[in-house]
Amino acid sequence: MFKGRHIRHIRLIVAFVLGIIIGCITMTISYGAKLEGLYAERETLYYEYNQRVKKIQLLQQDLDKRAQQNARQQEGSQIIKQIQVEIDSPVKFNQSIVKTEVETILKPFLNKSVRWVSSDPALLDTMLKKRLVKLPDKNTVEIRLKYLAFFDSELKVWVSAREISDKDVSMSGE
Amino acid sequence: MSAGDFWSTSVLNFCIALGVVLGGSTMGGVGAFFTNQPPLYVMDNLADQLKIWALVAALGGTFDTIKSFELHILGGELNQVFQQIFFILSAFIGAHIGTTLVRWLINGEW
Repeated sequence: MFKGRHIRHIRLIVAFVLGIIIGCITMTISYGAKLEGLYAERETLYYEYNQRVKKIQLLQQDLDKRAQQNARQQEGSQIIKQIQVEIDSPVKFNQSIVKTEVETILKPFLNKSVRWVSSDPALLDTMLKKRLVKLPDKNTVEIRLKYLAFFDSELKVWVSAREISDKDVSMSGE
Repeated sequence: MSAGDFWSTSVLNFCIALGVVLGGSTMGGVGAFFTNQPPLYVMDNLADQLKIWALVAALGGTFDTIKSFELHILGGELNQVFQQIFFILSAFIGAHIGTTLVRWLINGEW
């Protein structure tokens, strides 16, 4: 089937393959321990890397949570939650009625952003300008915005009240 | 079976089992090197796993051995039964020595 020359070639090829296999085995046995050490080191490095990645992720989550809380707190502090009215008037009586009236007028500003109100304070002035408040003693008081200030989430308003007599009030059409 | 045949079969079984374990685990180690796995660790595992298969390969299939057990016991030829047991034992010793040699090669201990 195979001639002598071919048989020699086949033997050479088989010997070559066997040589490679023996070489591979020898190399594996001689350098196996060293390789094993390197693999173990790689495993340790992977483990440490994964641990650090997990730690970083946890810290990142914590940071995000804190940032959200901080933003919420800031947001909460920038909303008008309370309106305090101070009346500047020579008349000391019936100030509480004027206060209540002013508070009612300013009620729409509650739970509104401080930034929104402070960017356009003229709005408050417009709302309070020449407003008349009827007192129980049949007198009338004209109010006007004097100052306004923000203390965190509190809007403080100083209003000047001037008592006007009936003759100062003119009915439209007269 | 003559005494000569008996001993030659026993030695053959021993060598086959030893060869299966040694060859399988060392070639497995080479394969592990090419597949980016720790070679000696793979060799150790393979030596353990191949032990039972080496036994089977040496005996030429478990079914035949069990069948011959049945035939010889029923036929009252206990001598043949002991021969089969010795063949199994020789294959087992071969596989075990192979595993032990691989383990010694890897860990440097028996």
